[in-house]
Amino acid sequence: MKKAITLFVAIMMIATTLTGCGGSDDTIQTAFKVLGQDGKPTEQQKDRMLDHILLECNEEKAFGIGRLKEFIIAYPWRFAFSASAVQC
Amino acid sequence: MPIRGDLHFQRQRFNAKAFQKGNKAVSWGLVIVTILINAVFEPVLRHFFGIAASDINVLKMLEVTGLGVLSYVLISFAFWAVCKCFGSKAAFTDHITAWGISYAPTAVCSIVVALSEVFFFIFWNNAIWGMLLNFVFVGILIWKAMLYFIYLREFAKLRGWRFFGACAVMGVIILVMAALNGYVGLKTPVL
Repeated sequence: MKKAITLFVAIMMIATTLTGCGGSDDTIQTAFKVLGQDGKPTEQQKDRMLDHILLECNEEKAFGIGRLKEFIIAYPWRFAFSASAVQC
Repeated sequence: MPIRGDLHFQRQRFNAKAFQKGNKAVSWGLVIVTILINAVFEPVLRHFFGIAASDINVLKMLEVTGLGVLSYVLISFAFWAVCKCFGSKAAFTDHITAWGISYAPTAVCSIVVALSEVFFFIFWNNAIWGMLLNFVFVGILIWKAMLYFIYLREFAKLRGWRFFGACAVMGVIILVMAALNGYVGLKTPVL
């Protein structure tokens, strides 16, 4: 949603500067301000990003046999249907 | 603010943690869906598309639904009793909120069973469909068996000889209950 708004503002800015009509300095400045605000993640988004990174760290540590074991325990259905496909 | 457990859940990972946490809504939801496919969906499908159009018997549907719920409570009780004997600390209510999570393959199985029984003429003598059904049924069987082992190991926390003992005893109970389920009209055992 935010991306869409940013894109819309950017397109409007380009349109106003290119056509040179309707776009007073004021509107362009407010548009820039909105862009700046949009770029910063909110506290909630930061939390979510941190959670995501921590989760990825937890998952990345297994190798070899441990990786296989993790695969079997975390995704039993994937393992089950691969085994089933092999025996077919 | 999302907590870590929620994220795990959002990713829909079907791992040991799902069992450990347990979830009443997910458990009972999956169980009820499985039972309703067995008790209601299958007869309705048979009524409309079956070769010999059978009547819809509401009383029978209610009876089978009740027996399905009973079957789930009984299997949870059996898990609790056996795991308790082999030294697990999980309470009966924990078992009843955790074991239902393993009903995802059972629900899929009951749908496939209903479709393949009612539309058997499509699958009859057809090598490609036969291979596909074989693939699906064997996959479901392995999936459920793995969930069973993961459950005893990660949820009931049984290790070594206790794990193998519980596997053997529960295996016998499951075989007996599957036969009883089939006898009372649950084509896919609600176990």
